Amino acid sequence: MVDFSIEPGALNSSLAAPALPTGQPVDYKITARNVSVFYGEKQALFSVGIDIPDRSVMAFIGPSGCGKSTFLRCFNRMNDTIASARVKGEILVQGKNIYGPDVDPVQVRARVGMVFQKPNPFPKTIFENVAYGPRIHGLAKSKGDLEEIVVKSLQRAGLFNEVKDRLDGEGTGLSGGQQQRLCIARAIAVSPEVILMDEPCSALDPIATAKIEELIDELRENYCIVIVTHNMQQAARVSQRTAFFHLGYLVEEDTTDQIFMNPKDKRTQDYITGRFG
Amino acid sequence: MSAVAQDSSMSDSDAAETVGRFDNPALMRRRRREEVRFQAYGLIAIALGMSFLVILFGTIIRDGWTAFFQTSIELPIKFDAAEIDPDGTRNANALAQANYQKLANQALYGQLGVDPSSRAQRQAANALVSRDVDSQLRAMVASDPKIIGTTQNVWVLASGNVDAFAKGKIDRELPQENRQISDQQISWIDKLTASGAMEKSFNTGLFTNTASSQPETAGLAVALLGSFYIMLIVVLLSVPLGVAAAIYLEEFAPRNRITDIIEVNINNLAAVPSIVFGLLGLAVFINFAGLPRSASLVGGLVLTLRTLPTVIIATRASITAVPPSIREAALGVGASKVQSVFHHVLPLSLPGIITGTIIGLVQAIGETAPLLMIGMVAFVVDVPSSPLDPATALPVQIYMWATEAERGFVEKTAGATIVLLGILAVMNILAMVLRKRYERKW
Ligand SMILES: Nc1ncnc2c1ncn2[C@@H]1O[C@H](COP(=O)(O)OP(=O)(O)O)[C@@H](O)[C@H]1O
Ligand SMILES: [Mg+2]
Repeated sequence: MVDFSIEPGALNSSLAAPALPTGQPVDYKITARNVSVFYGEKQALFSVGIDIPDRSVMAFIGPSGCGKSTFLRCFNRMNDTIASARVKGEILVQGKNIYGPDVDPVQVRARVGMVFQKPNPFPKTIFENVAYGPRIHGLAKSKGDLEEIVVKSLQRAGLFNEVKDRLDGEGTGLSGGQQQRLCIARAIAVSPEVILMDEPCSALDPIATAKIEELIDELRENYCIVIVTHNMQQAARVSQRTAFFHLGYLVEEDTTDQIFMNPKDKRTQDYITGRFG
Repeated sequence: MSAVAQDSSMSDSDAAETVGRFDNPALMRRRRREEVRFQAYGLIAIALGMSFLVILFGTIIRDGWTAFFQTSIELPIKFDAAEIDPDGTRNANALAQANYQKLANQALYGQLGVDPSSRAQRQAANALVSRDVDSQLRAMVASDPKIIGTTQNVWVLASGNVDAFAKGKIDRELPQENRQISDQQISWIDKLTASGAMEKSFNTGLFTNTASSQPETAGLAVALLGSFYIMLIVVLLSVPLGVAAAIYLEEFAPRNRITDIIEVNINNLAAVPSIVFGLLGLAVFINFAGLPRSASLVGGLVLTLRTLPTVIIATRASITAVPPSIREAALGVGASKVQSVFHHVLPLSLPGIITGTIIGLVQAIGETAPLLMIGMVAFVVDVPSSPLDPATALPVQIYMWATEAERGFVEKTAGATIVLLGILAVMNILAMVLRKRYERKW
């Protein structure tokens, strides 16, 4: 078993951001209420509610199969693509219910970008990978515009310097970590308001992981980021708030420091001290 | 592997008992014998299969390769105005009715020094040239009436028997009564060959001639064009229909009873005997819809039905082979379902679709029975100018030639088979190259 206990010092590292200032009105990017998800007859998520602030990183942790990915996929209506999945409840993104009757799920996915567990670049050139989103949404008026968007997105994803000489090389020819950053560039190329990441580092080596974590910390300045991770150190390093899920229930949600240093629920305590997982 | 591992672990734990068992020389010998015997069976099976294949291709090529060559005779033909156009009117009807065979025969008598007063000699000489010389010379005059009154050196086709003799298919050592060529004719043939007036050349007629009862002038033009029209129709119909059906079933259709039934039926359709498609075509396209008999259009429609399941199944297989992560990636940046399919899934499955289609076409081009049902087995003299005209197809032509009585058609049948096999080989190689070239490992 891996030792999941956290040394107190780890949380004070330079990456760990200070908790949100209290007492001030908080600008919530995402507000979820009473969200339940069913796969056929089986209920995977039970009446979950959460508030996620803008320009910060929210981490979802919990044992495997507890519904983290399921909940994450609710935020960009990715669950709609699973035939058996049914979502109940209300999720507001920027104050607008994305499950409202007049909402086009395709539009939602442009506003809420997603990075997946396994890097999944299109089998096309690096340029085409990033340009695809802006192109289908008509974000660039000219070829020059498009090039600018691609370059900017690659720069923001911290990949530009590594690939600037081979933008017309295959995206699938990059290393795993580079592919994942390419996927992040592809997501931010359509200027989303939220970026969802489902265990983005689970297929990467430690050095590539460190780079992605650094990148997440930079992106936090401009985006609302929700990240699922099975790695508690990672949650501690990159997030400001953490939500702990168990068996389809949201058990506890608080600042990351609180969750790791002073969990209120017994199950959270057991999990972060490595008693189950 | 795992079985071996298990055995060794067993021998570890149970050493005392098992050592004796595994070392038993009688058992070991028997096991080896069994192994050798099984391998021998396998080798025999493969050798048998291969030898049948070699015999098949060997006989076809042995009988057929000569079909690509044709013997002709050069004759100084005098286009005698008195014979062709006695009235001097140059009337097209009159020109068409003249006895051109006689012109050729007379040129031949002159060339060979035949005594025109001997009926037997004349007949023996006449039998050297093809009876279709008639139409060859008529066509020459029709296209250029100015040659009337002149003498032209013309290469005319030799008769089927002369052709067979020149190709060594008739043995000159046989006694005269037992061969179709007399000693007199052989001496003429030798004379013509020596003077360079008889030669074998590439038989373009095999590809440009239409139906004929003379083997030397029968060709594949109608069958090739018919097969081409059929393929064209099959591609134009079965690819869009099949790909659309496959995309819908694979990417959009809900999974329920109805789609399950459709799926089972598509798979069953691929296994329906092809003659049933012929019956269907006869009933629906000809008797009900009133399309013409023997037309390649109907053949194409029938074979489209035959090919459709193959295309659908191949397309579905290559669509499923595209990993879901690609679809997720597209949906994730806000592409619609249709966009994700047409921008990503379809281009990635294209190689598989093309290979599947070619394999379907290979099936269709070799299909005979349904075409017999819709009357594509016909003696067609005119080159079909559209898919609505009567035509035949390659395999049907082979079938028709194979049932002809004349000796010369044996060679034709094998030659046409070589053409068909050649087309099939090219298509299969194309499919293989495409598959190799665009193969993608995920
Ligand atoms: N496509 C699906 N169909 C049916 N059940 C699913 C599907 N995806 C997830 N589940 C079930 O929902 C529960 C939560 O899964 P998931 O959200 O993937 O968990 P996590 O990401 O926390 O490991 C699990 O019990 C899982 O088996
Ligand atoms: Mg998950």
